[in-house]
Amino acid sequence: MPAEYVPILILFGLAAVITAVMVGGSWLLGPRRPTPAKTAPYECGITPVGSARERFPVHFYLTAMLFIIFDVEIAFLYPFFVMVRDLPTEARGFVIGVATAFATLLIITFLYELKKGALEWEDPVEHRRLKAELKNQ
Amino acid sequence: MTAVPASAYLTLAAFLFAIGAAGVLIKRNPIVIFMCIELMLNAVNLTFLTFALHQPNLQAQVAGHVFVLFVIGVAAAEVAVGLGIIVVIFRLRETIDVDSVSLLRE
Amino acid sequence: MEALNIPQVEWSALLPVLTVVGAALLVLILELFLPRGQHTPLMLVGLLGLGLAGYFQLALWGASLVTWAETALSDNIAVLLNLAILVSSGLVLLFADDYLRARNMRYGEFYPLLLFATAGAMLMISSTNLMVVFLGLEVLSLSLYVLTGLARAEVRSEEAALKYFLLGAFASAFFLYGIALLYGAQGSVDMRVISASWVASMPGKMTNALLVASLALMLVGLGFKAALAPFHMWTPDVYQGAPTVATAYMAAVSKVAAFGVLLRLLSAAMPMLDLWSPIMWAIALLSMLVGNLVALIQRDAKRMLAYSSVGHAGYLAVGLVSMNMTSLTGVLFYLVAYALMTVGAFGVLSLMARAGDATTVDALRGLARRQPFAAFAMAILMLSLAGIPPTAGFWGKWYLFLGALEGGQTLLAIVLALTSVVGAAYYLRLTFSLYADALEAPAARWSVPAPMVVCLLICLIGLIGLGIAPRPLAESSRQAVERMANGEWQVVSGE
Repeated sequence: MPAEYVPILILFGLAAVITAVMVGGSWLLGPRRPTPAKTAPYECGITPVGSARERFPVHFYLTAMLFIIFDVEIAFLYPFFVMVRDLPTEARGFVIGVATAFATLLIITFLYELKKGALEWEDPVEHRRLKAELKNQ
Repeated sequence: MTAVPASAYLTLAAFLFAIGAAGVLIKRNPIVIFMCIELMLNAVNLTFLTFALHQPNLQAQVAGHVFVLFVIGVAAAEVAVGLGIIVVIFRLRETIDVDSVSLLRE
Repeated sequence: MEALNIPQVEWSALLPVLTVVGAALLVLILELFLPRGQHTPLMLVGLLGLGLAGYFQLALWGASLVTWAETALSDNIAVLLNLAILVSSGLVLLFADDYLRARNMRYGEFYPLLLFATAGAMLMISSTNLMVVFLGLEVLSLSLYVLTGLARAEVRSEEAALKYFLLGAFASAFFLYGIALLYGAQGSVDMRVISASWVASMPGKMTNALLVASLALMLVGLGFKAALAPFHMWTPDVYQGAPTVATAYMAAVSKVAAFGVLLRLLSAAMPMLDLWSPIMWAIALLSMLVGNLVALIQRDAKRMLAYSSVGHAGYLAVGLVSMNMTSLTGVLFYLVAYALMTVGAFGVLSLMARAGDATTVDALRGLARRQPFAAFAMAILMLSLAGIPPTAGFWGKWYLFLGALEGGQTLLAIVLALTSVVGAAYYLRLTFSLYADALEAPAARWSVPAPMVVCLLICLIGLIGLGIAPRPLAESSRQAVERMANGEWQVVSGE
């Protein structure tokens, strides 16, 4: 078994050697005369303002959370799509029924989050309601 | 070509599971703890798939594959609920370190 | 390609769970179209769904069906425990609205979440296929995590939710790894196959080792859900931090569901008795001791009940270790009684918490002056939890005690009796303080709302009724256990 992996190992070795030679060579041979403009992260363009490690608005996380659920749930339909053409006719009805029931659940939950305003970016329905409530008080 | 033996996959999965479990016990950041739990779930998936490879009949093989899909789905649902809780805590306290989450320890 | 078998389905076995899921979806949609804070229709639809599910469940009494490609089943154990779950969720639904309104937590999401959790718990009990059990467990747990963190503006509630979530996900990963190893050992995740695979497996061989490891891992996962001793760390924090209505629900339902699965799993693993019984023995002993002794020094009534629930889990584990007809009957009986007692006790505490009073034992002092009925109900519930004779709690403990003696677990029986005495000490202390003079002027005036009166009456009548006439439930429990032991299944599936 290990004999089959020898070419890969050689490839890894070659990659390491070539990289070392190129990077090491330029480091050894190249002249270094640093100026502020040269050490800047980008040679041209807008000068960076502040740290790159800013906090993201929480909307990103919320939308990502909603996305990942639907993303993964859709994967359940994958075996269905692969199989449904090859099924005998008497089995097809049952399988399509199951898939439909599943899709219905997905659609209900999608409509639920739509109506709840979870997908609105700026001013979700909940917030508007909250504001209205505060105004009334 | 000779196949990689099942025991190799199973050992790898067991190690991943152990790493995840150890991570849960020693890490402080809930998001990292949560990533460790995901690691454990993926170790389970690897175990399922390895065993599915060695099942004698098609039905048992497919069962293993379908279980993996279930586990992935459940993991996604867990992610959503867990991150939701973390976001709410962050809004309330501006920190999510588990050591500072200790109001209940009286 | 092999032919695909289309399962022939006996829908009646699935109907109770499907009804609850349907009610949950209906409530979910209905909530969108109701004005904010209008929750009475949600409650009514929920109760209707639970009632209907209860009716369908009752109609299944006596059947031993396995259907839907052997992933769903209905037997008498499922009927009994599902009814206990349905009744506890119904009671919580009934009195939750008032609490949520008073605590300014008017989130309509409470209702669908509660119903989904109920469906998950029922699913756990109505299957021997461990993957289905796992999915039920996750549906129950995920809903409970959110219910725990329902008080969005309170740090306490959110911290409890985070703790519960992290430890719960950790435990379910263990449970899942156990399932994976079981799948490797026998090519199927059906519990009913375990005993055959164990008999066929050779000592020192792979299958043998896999089965042992898988059972151990699954015990960890379920032990967490059932709040058994080395895995009980989350219980006090979560019980205390969660909104009291959510605590009432989780205390009753997740215990019933977890012990339902443990009961099925361990009796399926009967041939491995020599291996798991020492482990369960230690767990039972530790749970009884830790739960009751630590409960003794708690100031907060919610924390006290949390630790005592660990103790109760220990009593139930004694029943599982003994593994005979009497002890298993005791487990079923005790679970039904325990569900009623816990829901009632946390219900009374939710009245206190609702009015802004603390839930410390001191704050409960002198409750009888202010609220004679609530105090009376609490007193009876405490007596039942302590296991004082004319209540259901006594008979549950009695059957477990007898079963332990019958099974030759004398030490466990003695510890059970002794820790019950310890338990009686703190339950009675709380009961007496209800009738003592208040230490200070009460924080707020409040009344017992009508739905709560109905709930408490149901709990009291149930507990005292079962205390006076335990025979019908005990007989049905015994019948249920015997049927499961005989393993006669009517399998409905197309082959």
